[in-house]
Amino acid sequence: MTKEEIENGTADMEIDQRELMNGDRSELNAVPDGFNANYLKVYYGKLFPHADIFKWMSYGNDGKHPGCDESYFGRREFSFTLDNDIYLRFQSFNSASQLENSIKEKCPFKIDIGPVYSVDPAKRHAYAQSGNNVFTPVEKELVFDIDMTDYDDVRYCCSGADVCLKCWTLMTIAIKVIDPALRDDFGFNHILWVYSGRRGVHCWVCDPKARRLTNEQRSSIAEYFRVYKGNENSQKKVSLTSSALHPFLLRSYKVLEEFFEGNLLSNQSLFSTEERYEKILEMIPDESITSELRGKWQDNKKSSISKENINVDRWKHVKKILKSGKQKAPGLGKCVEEIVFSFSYPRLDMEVSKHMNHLLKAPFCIHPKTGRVCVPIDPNRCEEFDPTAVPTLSKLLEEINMGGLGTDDDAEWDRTSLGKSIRFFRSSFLQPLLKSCKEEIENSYNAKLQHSKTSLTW
Amino acid sequence: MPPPIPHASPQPEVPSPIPYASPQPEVPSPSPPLQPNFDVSIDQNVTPPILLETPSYPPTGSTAPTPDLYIEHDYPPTASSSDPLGPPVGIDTPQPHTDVPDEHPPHQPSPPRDRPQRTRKAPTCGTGGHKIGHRGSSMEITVVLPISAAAKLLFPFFRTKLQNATKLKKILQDSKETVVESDVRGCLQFTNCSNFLKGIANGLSRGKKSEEMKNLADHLWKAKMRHPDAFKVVNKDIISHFVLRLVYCKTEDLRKWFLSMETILFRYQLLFERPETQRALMAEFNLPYRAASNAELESVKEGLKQVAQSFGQPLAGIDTECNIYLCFFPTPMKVPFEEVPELVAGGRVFIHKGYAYIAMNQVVSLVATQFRSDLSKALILTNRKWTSTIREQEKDRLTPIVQALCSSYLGPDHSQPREFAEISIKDIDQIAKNSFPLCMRHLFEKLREDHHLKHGGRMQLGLFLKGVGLKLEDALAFWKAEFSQRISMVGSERFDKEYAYSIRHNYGREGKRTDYTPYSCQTIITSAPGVGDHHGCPYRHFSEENVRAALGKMGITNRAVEDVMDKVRNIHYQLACTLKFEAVNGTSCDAGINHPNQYFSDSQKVLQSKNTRMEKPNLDELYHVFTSHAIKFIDYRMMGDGSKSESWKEFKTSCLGNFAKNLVRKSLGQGVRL
Repeated sequence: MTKEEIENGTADMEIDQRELMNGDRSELNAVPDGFNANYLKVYYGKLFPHADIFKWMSYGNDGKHPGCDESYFGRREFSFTLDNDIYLRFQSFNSASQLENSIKEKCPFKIDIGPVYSVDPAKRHAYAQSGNNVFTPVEKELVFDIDMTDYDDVRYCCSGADVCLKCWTLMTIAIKVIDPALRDDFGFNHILWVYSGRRGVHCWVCDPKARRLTNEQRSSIAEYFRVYKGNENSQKKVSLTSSALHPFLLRSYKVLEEFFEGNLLSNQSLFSTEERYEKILEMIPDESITSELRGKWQDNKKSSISKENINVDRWKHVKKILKSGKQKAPGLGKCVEEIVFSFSYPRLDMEVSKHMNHLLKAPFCIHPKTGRVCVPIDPNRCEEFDPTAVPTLSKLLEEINMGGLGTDDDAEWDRTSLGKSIRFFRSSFLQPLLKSCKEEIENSYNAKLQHSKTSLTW
Repeated sequence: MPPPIPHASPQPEVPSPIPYASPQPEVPSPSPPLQPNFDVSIDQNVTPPILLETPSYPPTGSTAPTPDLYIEHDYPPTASSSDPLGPPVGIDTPQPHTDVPDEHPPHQPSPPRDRPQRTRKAPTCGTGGHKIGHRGSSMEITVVLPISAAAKLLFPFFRTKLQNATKLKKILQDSKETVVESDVRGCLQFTNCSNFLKGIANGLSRGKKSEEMKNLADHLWKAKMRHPDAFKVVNKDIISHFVLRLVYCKTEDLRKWFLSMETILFRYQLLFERPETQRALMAEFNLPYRAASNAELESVKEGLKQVAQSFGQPLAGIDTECNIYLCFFPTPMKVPFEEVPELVAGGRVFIHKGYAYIAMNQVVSLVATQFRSDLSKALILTNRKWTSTIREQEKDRLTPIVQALCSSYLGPDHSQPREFAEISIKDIDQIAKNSFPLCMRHLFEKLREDHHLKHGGRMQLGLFLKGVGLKLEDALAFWKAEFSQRISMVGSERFDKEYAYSIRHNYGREGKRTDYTPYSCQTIITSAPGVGDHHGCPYRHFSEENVRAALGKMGITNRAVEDVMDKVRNIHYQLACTLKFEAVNGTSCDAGINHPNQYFSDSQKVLQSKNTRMEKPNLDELYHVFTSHAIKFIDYRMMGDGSKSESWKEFKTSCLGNFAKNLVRKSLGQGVRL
């Protein structure tokens, strides 16, 4: 944020006050769009759920139970990106209030969450002298990062950083594929999906088992999800070599097929122009089939099929010819699946998931470019999620202004449109998580007691 | 001279301070290595390994000093993972750092303080404790071995036939003598084993499929490790393994290489075993699996079937037809998925609610994972102890040997540009055109075209350029010049902020200050370029048309292109690259391409020798090329069954280009006969 913009911000505020004097109620609460440090201060002061983040990141190690590890939260790395892109790594805090005060004071544009280290990351240099690898990450949520820019070759509505409801379908698909697999296949329960603030989603898997995975194990999960192996220089982006699909892929295919045929096909107009359908034909390795289809479609150009139907019809042609069984080359039957996977299967940023020490933006941050809050997404109702309707910083401030003065600080967030998100975060994610953490601490504490008792008698 | 005979196994004891070393340098360096006492690269007479004089060397028994035969497994086996409240995995806890004597050698800059002296105790469970090691300065060896626990322990290192279990116990009983007696001798024998591992590495780099690899491993094993006396084979195996540990524990890179090769070896060894042996092993290892109950089976049956069908190809030794039932019934095993990362990654296992249901013949993966992690930990410990105490104590005996050996085993080190000390930015286009391998040339051209590369590409090209001799300042200037052309994306200010750091990081000037080495072909081939990425190995990651187009652009003849494509189709990516090298440079490349920087330096060499017209062949080089061929020949002989075999023919046609043939012929004229 440049100085100039900040000045603009304050200038805007003066305008607000003038309007207040004029007594114009409707203009009164309008807060200009955008993002600046002053707005952010208010946000961190009144809305950001510091305590919830603390509770989450302590995983029950809050000092109340004799079996808990009080150093746990203090060994977690936080990292702040300040104004002017100053990057503060290895921040650590010993209590909820320390965390809150530091955030309020530094007013970071972005907060990233790193791993829990073996020792307090702020004091890592002190340990560096004492020997081999003492400072090392020991726990970190299993995270996934899916970014719309990775889909640029299969979406025609927007590109780069832009995103609209049409292409957001791809994110919905990603959640619908990954989330059930994490639960049913890997047996994880505490999963948080978060809107990244602009053009993607993040996923935090917080089960104790997930947090303690080694890098190798993380890689294996990421690889399990990786179907899309294309790069700029190969035509076939997805290769399904085996004769039958793995049960996970089979299950995913049902989701993909539904969205591909019911949504992407016409919303992205995948077959509407020659350039677009050529891209699909390239994925069919049989010359005679592609030329047959091409001929059919080029002749059809003039005919009066409505634009809506052209994509659906052409896809039907492809399916019919590939699945008819008269093809000579084996593996052509797989082509239909390969096309569907290419255009809709989730594309994970593998590196983020593979390494324990990768940082990921904290939920409830504000994206500096869009001003939108990184709100949690309910995976069970992810098709209802609309990124363009996510509350922005300025909207939230407006809502606070509406509330008027003299109200209780604690519940201020509840009256804004952020309230819904925070309530969801607590009830669907945080409470069940903390409950199971408590149980785990209790159990291992009892086991320890038991153990020490027996060893005493022995 | 008669054809050289490889590694005569029974070694006559010729006292002389020259240790024997690898006869198989991966890449011939231009001149014979300059190690007066430890000439490790050439030994075409295959003089039997020569022993060091052993004056201060008590013959046998428990009082003898020993090389670093540390079998250290004192880390608590599963404590850290089963105890969520305990200290984080093996970090903050005082390591039971074993056998560190009180005094520290002077060269140790920051000796670890207050390490608890080891308290010897009986192993608590599966991975128990078996120690053979120094005890302080008294230089005595103590073998603390409850036999059964030790058998469990030694297993991970014991890569030979498992039905010899009883023999193993015998060995352990004898281990006082055998291990100690043969330490130095072991050092000398171990080259066989190292060659064995190298053979495996070679096979891998040629992209051999698993079935081929299995045969290769078997073959190599017989060739390199065979001995009429089964007991001696086991013995030799154990000893060579430990000597290799010493040699390969030094750096992360060496450890990684050794780990993966040993794991592969272990895996193939285990694959030869019968199911009963494998099962016994699982029990022995106390691995966290259990047979799935009938009720569970019923609920996951459908999934198991689908997975079995999706394999498509037969799993090690079990044919496709009966795979569904043979793979999973009667005993599919249920194991936490974290235990079998490799099966999970390949999608070769059915996973449900956190458990992987694995087939009996996938056991290998399970055990190999365990093996690998055990070995990895042991290597780190060995390294720690070697540098802290043993190196000093052994400075007259083992240290020189180990040092000579470890400096000679990974081929040339491409992190230190030597012959072509520096290149400057202005020459870079010319050099790229002449001497870059396809992967780097592609990245380079894309960078010039798009003025941008994604992270993977920046790393691959950046480190390569560093290896080529681009200095840090030049590298910064080079990248900046390119990136700033893309004004919309990267202003020069932004470049300084975002990209300069990582370039400086690559040169070891930031962060943890590691001087990163350029990627090898192996790394590049196994990388996974995604959307918008241009890195990776073109032969592997490009579509066929794109490879053709790229080769065509370089003016390679159609025939040569077809040859290259043939290799590509057979997934011999490095051979494809070698053929391209030969086509471009018009000379043979007998060592093959193993590293982009090797491609570069070989290409530069060819260019330079073209410039000097090759009038006087350098005698040193001639000698070297000849011997390296002779060594290859020896190796082929060992793998095959005589000079008339296919492999010899193949060798002649594939390795001996005209240039090399002439050299060999000249050498022959000098009275040497192949």
